[in-house]
Amino acid sequence: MRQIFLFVSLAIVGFGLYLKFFYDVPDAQITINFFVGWFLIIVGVSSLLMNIVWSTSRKNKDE
Amino acid sequence: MNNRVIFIAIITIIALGGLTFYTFGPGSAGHTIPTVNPSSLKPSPVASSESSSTTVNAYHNRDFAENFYTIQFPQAWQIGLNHAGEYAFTFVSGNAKVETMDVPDNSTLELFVLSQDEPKLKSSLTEYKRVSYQKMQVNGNDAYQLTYTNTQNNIAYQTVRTYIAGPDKAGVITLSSDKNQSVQLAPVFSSIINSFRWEK
Repeated sequence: MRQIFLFVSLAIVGFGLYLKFFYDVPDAQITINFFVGWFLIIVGVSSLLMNIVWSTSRKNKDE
Repeated sequence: MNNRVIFIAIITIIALGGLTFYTFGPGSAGHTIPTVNPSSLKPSPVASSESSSTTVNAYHNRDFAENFYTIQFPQAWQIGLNHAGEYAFTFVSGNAKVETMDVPDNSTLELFVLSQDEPKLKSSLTEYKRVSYQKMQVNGNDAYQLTYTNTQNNIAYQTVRTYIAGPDKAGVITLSSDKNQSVQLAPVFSSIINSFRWEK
């Protein structure tokens, strides 16, 4: 389960970075691209952090 | 639930709120709508050569990274208000405009001209009629030139619209004049088109 969550988080960050740096944005979509790109990066990074923090704390509890 | 996870969730929600406010809130226009670089509006006079009877100004557009360009227009032409990446001019018998245009990644410039831009012109201009269409080269770049006529306030205009392929966007030069003046102005139009250069 954790691996799936990690994979989805990485995919979200990756797609956010793609929109930010590689996608050729049409002039009319600059604002929405800015928002969606950063939204995905923030959500992806925070879910990665949550995943790491949560699994670390569960390991500590088990020990 | 772990306190640190809750802390990260709260920080994330605050960051998303901040992002929404920054993007769509008051004062957001400044960072999302491209602005005109002041240096783009400072023309540099070009020494007139003996072969040319018209004195020209060179405009160095620095509004969009990857899409810097230089173009020369007659000094006598009146520059109007312009948006980022473009210049508009008026002169006695017509008007001119140079702009950069986004060509979608899944299209070529020629396909874009014929399947999107020309139909748009057809539907927006009165009595649109294509005079000619040709492929050409402008300073080593592929270019497509569409010449058409239309009427506005019962006056017939002839327009030469040239699309020049570029590294990111395409440069589009639109030169319109009273149809009766088009032959006389052809050399001037041609020198404007040939002065267009992409710069790094």
